[in-house]
Amino acid sequence: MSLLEVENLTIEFETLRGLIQPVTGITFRLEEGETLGVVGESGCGKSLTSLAIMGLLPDTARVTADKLKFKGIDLLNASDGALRKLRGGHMAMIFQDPMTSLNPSFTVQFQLDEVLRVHGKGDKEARHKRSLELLSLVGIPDPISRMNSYPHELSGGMSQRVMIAIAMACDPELLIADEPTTALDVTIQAQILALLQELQRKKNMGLMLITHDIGVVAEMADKIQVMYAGQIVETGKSESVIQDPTHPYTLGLLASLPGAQANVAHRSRLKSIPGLVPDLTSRPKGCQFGPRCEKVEPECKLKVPALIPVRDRETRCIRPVGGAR
Amino acid sequence: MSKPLPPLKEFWYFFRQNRGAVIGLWVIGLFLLIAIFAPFLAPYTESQMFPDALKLPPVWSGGTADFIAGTDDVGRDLLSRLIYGARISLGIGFMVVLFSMSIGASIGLIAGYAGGFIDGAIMRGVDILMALPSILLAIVVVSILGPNLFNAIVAVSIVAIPGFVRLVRASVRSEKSKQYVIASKSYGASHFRVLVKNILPNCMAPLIVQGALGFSDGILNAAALGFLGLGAQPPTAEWGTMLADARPFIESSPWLVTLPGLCILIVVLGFNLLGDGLRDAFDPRLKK
Repeated sequence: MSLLEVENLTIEFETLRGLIQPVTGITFRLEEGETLGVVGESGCGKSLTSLAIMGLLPDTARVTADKLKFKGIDLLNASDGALRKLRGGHMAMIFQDPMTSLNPSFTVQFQLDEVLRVHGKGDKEARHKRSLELLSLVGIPDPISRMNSYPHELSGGMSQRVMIAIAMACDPELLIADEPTTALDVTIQAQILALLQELQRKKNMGLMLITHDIGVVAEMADKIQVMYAGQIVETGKSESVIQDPTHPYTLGLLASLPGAQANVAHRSRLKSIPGLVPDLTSRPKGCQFGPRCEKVEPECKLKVPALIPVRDRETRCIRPVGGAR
Repeated sequence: MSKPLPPLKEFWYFFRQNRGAVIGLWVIGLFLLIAIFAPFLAPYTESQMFPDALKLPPVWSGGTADFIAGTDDVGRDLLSRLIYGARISLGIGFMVVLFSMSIGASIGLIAGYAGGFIDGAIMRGVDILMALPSILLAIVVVSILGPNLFNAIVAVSIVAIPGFVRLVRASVRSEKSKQYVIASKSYGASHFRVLVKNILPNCMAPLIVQGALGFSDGILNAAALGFLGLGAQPPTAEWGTMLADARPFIESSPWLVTLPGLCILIVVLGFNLLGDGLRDAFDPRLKK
């Protein structure tokens, strides 16, 4: 039994301009102690997917799936109470902007204590001890005095460490990190990622790392799943996806990394993928990436290509980069 | 960057900048002390009558030192009645704010958080309440319940509820989509906990301001009801009721209407100044 099984997950919203499907038919698995990197541009459904797993989407969202199971528990049909126990207890999430993820009205101590209290972890003293332990676990210097800080007194990196401490409070088996380093500056980014990796190894958690920076997942993830316009366009082992991408979109993402072509030409412009993610109310016909693809062919516009096995992974392209074998 | 001030100290720093607000605070503090120590401050009790001293003018316009603010038409000492009246008026203000704030905020929390049909139903009800002129609505409520002080408080509270509902609903709606609310759900907080422990404290600033302003509205509306004979009943020394009792003598003994009216004016002004000061101190946009 996998830690997380997602099969054919679809998220729909009823809007004034009609029904939109920001996420269509996502299927993946995550095993214990495994790191899955989810990569893609803004607006391609990464965050929605993670919120759907946590059951945190607003009521206006319609979530359907053939299977959405966490440790064998059906998340779509679980009761509210059961879901609340899972959240924070067995699966936790950290968010993009740490500065707004903490409640501005309360101290760090109160917010750490609250998670532990919600999940009934010990009496006041035990919880206090555990809170201190968690703060040192995430590498916050001088945890005793930090306990009484308000969020506005913390830096971004510090806030994210506190968020991670809150997420780790009950030793979850699954941690979803939704762009955990996007709002932080580069030196802190590396520290936070290293911390996540260390915690993941220590506790043998499943980690779902969502990012738009393919360079970040390259180092950390076991598997990579590239998403575009609500679909998975390429998924496979991390090294092979990075070193030998089969989907033109993955290729584009890799090429747009600074330094990606350092050995080719030094002063060349940074590459970018032309165009924008398609408008969800008027999706293009056929391959969703077609309008932005350099190698688009008439056949691409006939129908949405299926996810087909190419070499050691799956890709959603009828003319995979580097040939079909 | 210097170390940020503790929240209370920071608040006081900004509050102090507004001179009017500080004056308001002093005025209210003074009336509060008068109300608390009324039995020690008042020369007589509120209903003690002196049959040989009817409608005596205050000491500054030819009265005697025995009755500093003069006496009314049945010979009761006006100063004592005003002092005891502070108790009743501040009490009314407090009760009205307590009732209307707790009920209004709860309804507003539910409406803002639930959204959809529940929100629509509640807010349309509130709209209906707001469409009626407030004093008219209060009169209707009192005439149904019967005229006495407690019913007047209930009526005035009902009139004040819509303001709190709208205010809290608006804040909840803006807070509930914030990241920290989603985050607290992500670690398993129940709806009740999210609403009361996470959202409500972040809506407190406007609520406190509205509370201070509601104090003055409450006192004013209750005095109006008293003036119309629907609030506190004589011989209760309520300022509005005292105004009503003194109306026939407005020309012969003007101090009988002037002094209670002045008390209402000063207290209401004090609360309004305080409320404005609180609003400025809580508003981050006005901070430098």
